[in-house]
Parts: sequence; C-alpha cells; structure tokens
Amino acid sequence: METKVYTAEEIAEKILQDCPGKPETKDWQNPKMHECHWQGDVGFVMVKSVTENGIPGSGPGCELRSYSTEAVNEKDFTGQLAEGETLGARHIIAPSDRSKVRVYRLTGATALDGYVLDVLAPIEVTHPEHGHVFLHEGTYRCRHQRMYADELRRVLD
Amino acid sequence: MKIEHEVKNGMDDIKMSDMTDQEIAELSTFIIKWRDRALHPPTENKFEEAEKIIRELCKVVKLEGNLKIVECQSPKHLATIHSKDSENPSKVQGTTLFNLMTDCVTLAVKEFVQSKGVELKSPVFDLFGKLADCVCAAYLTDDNTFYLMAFPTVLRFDDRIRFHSETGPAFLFPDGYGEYYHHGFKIDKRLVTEPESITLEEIRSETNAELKRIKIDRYGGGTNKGGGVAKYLRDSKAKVIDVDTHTHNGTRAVISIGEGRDEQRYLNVADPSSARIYYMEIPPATMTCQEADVWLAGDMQVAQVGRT
Repeated sequence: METKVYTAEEIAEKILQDCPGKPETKDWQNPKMHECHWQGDVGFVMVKSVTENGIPGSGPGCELRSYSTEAVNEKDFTGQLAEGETLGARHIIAPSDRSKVRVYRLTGATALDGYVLDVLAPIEVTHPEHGHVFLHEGTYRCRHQRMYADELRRVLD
Repeated sequence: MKIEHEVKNGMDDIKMSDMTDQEIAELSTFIIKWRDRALHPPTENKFEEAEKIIRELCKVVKLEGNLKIVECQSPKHLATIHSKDSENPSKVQGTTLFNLMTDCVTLAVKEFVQSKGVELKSPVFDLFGKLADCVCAAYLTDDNTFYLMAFPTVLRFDDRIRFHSETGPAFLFPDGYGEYYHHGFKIDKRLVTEPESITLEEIRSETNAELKRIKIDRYGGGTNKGGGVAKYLRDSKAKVIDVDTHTHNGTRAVISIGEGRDEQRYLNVADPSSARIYYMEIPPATMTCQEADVWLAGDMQVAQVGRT
C-alpha cells in the first residue's frame, strides 16, 4: 500500500480540514476506572477514591498506591480548575454545582497534578472555548498537560 | 413551560423550566435582538438621562446615602478617576449594576416572559432597558460612586462573537482606550499592527501555548498577506516525522523544525472545539504522534475516552 507523504504545510491544512471545529458538550456517563477525558489542556482521570489507587503510568505524579490529600476550604476555592495566563473563565465548576463536589489538594502534587474532585452528584465543568463536560458521581484526578521545559511544567494558555 | 415569579429585594426573580422547543426558539429571537443591540451600540451617549435613571433605580432598590454619579469615557478613564491607577482598569473594586454586553440576555428574558403574559412587579428591568439606550455600563464602586461608561466607538468580533481584529483594536472607547484581541485572546498591539515584526526566534522561544499559536498565525503579516501557518512552516523548513489519525484527537503530526542541537519537535494538532492548530513542543527524540501524546499527558497509562 502506498503511503502519502505530506509536507508540513499540507499536513497543517489537512489537520484543519479534518477538525470538526465546534464545541460539543460531553456528558461522560458510566466512566470506568483510569479512563480519561480531556477538556483542552486539563484531563479528568477517574480514580478509586480521594486517597486510593492513583493514576497508572511512569510519569510525574503517576503511582497506583494510596496517596494523601487535604480538603480545600470552600472559601478558598473559586471553582476554577486551572488558571491560565490569558483572559477568560476556563475549566470552571458551574456555580450551581459547587455544593455537589468536595475538592481536595494532593499532598506533594507535581506541576501536572491538579485538584482531586469527589463528585457527589453530576457537575458541569464549563469552558468558553472547549465543550462543557458533565462529570458524574465518582472521584476524578485533574491532570494538566505537560510543557516541554528544563523543569517539569504544565502548559499555560 | 413553567414560570416561577417572585419579587426579591425589589427585583423580579424569574425561573423558567420545562420549555418546549418552540418556546426556546422564541426566547432565542429575543436574545438575538438584544445581542445585536449590544454588538451595535448607539453612537450617542446620554449621560444626563442615564443619571436620572440611576437615581430612580436607587430608590427602587433602596440604595440610600450620598451617591455621586460620574461620567467616564472608558474603563481606563474610570480607573484613573477612581484609583489614580490607569494601568489597572480591572482592579477597580465595585459592583457592575448594569452592563449592556452581559445584561442583554437578562433584557431578552424579561421581554420573553412579558410576551407570555407575565406582569413584572418591579420597574428595575424597564429601567435597565432605558439605560441600554443611554450608556454602555454603570458601575457602583466601593466609595458609593456610580460611574457611567460611554459606549465604545469600535467593537469588532469574529464569527463566534469573540473579540477579534486583524487590523486594529477589537474595542475602542471615545477617549482612545482600546484593546487588541485575536479570536478572544487579549494580545499586544504589536502582534496586530506590526505582524511583520514577529520573528522565527520569537516564536521559537515563546512558552505560552496560546501566544505561540497566535504568533504563528500572525507571522509574516497574517493569512491575509500570504503569511500565517504556511509561511511559518516554509520559512522554518519544517519536516514531517509522523502522521496519524486518532479517534478523539483527529489528524495530527509530529513535525521537526531546525537541525542538530537547535532542532525542536512539535505535535501539530487541532483543538476539536475551536479548530485552532497548536504546536505543542515535545522532546526531540519523539518519533510518533502516539509517543508525543503520552509524553504531553505526563506519561499516564490511561484510556482516553474523549476530548472537547
């Protein structure tokens, strides 16, 4: 079978052509252990609980053994799961859903580890550019996308 | 449709539920009407009339005391008058009483429920409607001063109604204060007015993913001047290392720019929601899109079930 060889310009054009380019709300029903849904540069990985059975893998913050967390004070939590450098309210737990989730910080979190969310009833995580995501009951570890740098850093948008 | 209506703190509180598709379509027509009002505001400011409306509003919501009302020409002007810090308009402490850009939906809902026979008890929404003809916004700051904001003279958006202009400020106020945006992202004036000044080295060293993407997009004068992504890839002599199609991430490619110790590799991928092409830098030894994807996810071994 002949494989087409693309130039960088052609492939950029093809990537754009193949892209749907419209935000779609994801209602992530029946999530399974260690499945991940990405909303832009933030991933939600389903884990067993706020202290047990973390993220599998060989990277920073990945380990399957139990881990420790501390609860985030409601007054200190704005609902934003990742702060960016540019303007806009992104990765926000909808204000009406804040009472449906308990939020924890991972002890010894790496730059790629975000909040741990213990979702008690479905919540909506909104974003002005990416599609909104409905997370159903369960525990999720937020995970940031890695940026290429000398030290471990997360992507900032 | 079920409408729950009560008056709270001098204002009508309306909750709608169980709307039919027909009712949603009707509401949409009111929203589009008011959204267009916000996108094409009047050219004349009526500060005196706005002041009378504000004083009437204060009586309704029982906001008493010695209120000062001040006209201002832009957010920067407000910051200068209020806190003497014109560099930080966003740091002015206070409450937005009314803002045409955001309250256009409230005004649309008000007209929609009235069309369904609901009689509003409070005059607040009517006063907001009148205010929309006079000024762009009204802010109440922490020292009991109302600032009435003039309408912007320029407002430019892209087809998704995000602030955007490739030729000048995306919004401009009468006193000359404006800001520059690229599809909703605030950027430096230079990237809009002098895109020819963007260099390959500047793109190479940009660490912010959005700004890198915007600089590539504007490189060589932007797409309207034969620049943009294609020129950037040509000028940087980009080579394709790997291409694949992922169920959730679409078509993607590993590309290489530069040679030897200067080589940089990127996962070239589009965001499925915004159709923006990103160049995510990855280690130079990366050979496949899958390897790049795993690296960017911090070497997690998990099953990706979606991307929005």
